[in-house]
Amino acid sequence: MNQDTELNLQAYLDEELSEGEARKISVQLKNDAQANALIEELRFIKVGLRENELELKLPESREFYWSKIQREINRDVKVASPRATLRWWKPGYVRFAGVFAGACALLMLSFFAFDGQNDSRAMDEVEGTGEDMGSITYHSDKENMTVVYLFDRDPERMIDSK
Amino acid sequence: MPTQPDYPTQADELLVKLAKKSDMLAFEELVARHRDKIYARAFSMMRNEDEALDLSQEAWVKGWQRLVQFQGDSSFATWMTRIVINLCLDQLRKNKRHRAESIELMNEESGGVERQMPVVQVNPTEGLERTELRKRIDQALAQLSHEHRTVLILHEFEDLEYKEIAKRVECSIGTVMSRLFYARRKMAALLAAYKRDELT
Repeated sequence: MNQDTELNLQAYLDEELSEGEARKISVQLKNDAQANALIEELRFIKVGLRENELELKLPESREFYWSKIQREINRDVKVASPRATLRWWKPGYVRFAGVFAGACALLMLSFFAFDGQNDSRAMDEVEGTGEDMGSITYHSDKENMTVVYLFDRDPERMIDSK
Repeated sequence: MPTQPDYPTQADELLVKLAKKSDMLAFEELVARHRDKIYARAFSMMRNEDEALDLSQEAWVKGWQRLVQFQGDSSFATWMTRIVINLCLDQLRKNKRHRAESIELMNEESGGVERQMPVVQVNPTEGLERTELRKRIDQALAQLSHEHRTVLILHEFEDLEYKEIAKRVECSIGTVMSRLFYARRKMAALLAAYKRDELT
């Protein structure tokens, strides 16, 4: 039997032949004992393997196995996400950045506004009007000092953001 | 506050859906459920415990990264198995580059010895206890070359057609057919030899 015939017999067993080719092999198998023996040998290996794959258990505990996977996933997230370095741009942070800038501006303003002790425009108390965070600035000529109080207008939001 | 699902009781489909929304606990449950199968496939291809562990874990990481691509055309376990198989094939190619091509290997590729072997007439798997049979099949698989074993695994365990195997292994359909043929013949000879040893 040549190699092509052998491979055709196998393809017949695996149902990889066209209808016409398969018919030819069926005819051949009726009169060819050698072909029958070969196809039988191939069949018991095919069936034997399909029904008897060894079932293996992982040689590590669930926790240990998962911890390594989790570490890789977390590491990958840090490396792959360029946004991670720009997190401070998130809306929540921007909101506070605005408040912070506003507070600084008020502080500067109060510094220049109360620079001269005889300035008629001097105020004892100034209230900031930021949307998210309020501020009250108090100046005392007598003590020669300025105090700025910052407060969140919505205390519950502070709790949520945690 | 939304209640957390009871992960162990949920179907794979729901866990996948949750994992796609970055629910790490759902993904951990999927790993716990299918880890043995994924590891077993890696081990059957590599025949090395350390490599199988590393590759199976790499497969899970890749699975997480590509989860959004999983459309549910096959089961999640089948999808994960394909990932680990591809990783094993890549690793085997790398290993092959470092391995000298021996005369023995070239002979095996062309089926040198197996072509001359007489056909095994009596089914050597008959009458064996299932556990014993599985052990012997595994023992015989371990004796095949990586090339022959891979084709056999993809065809018999993963139920892939010749064309699909050729694509994955990156060779011609003719090569797949001859590798499969000689792998089966060698398996038959090895199992028959175990049976003879048992009788003597």
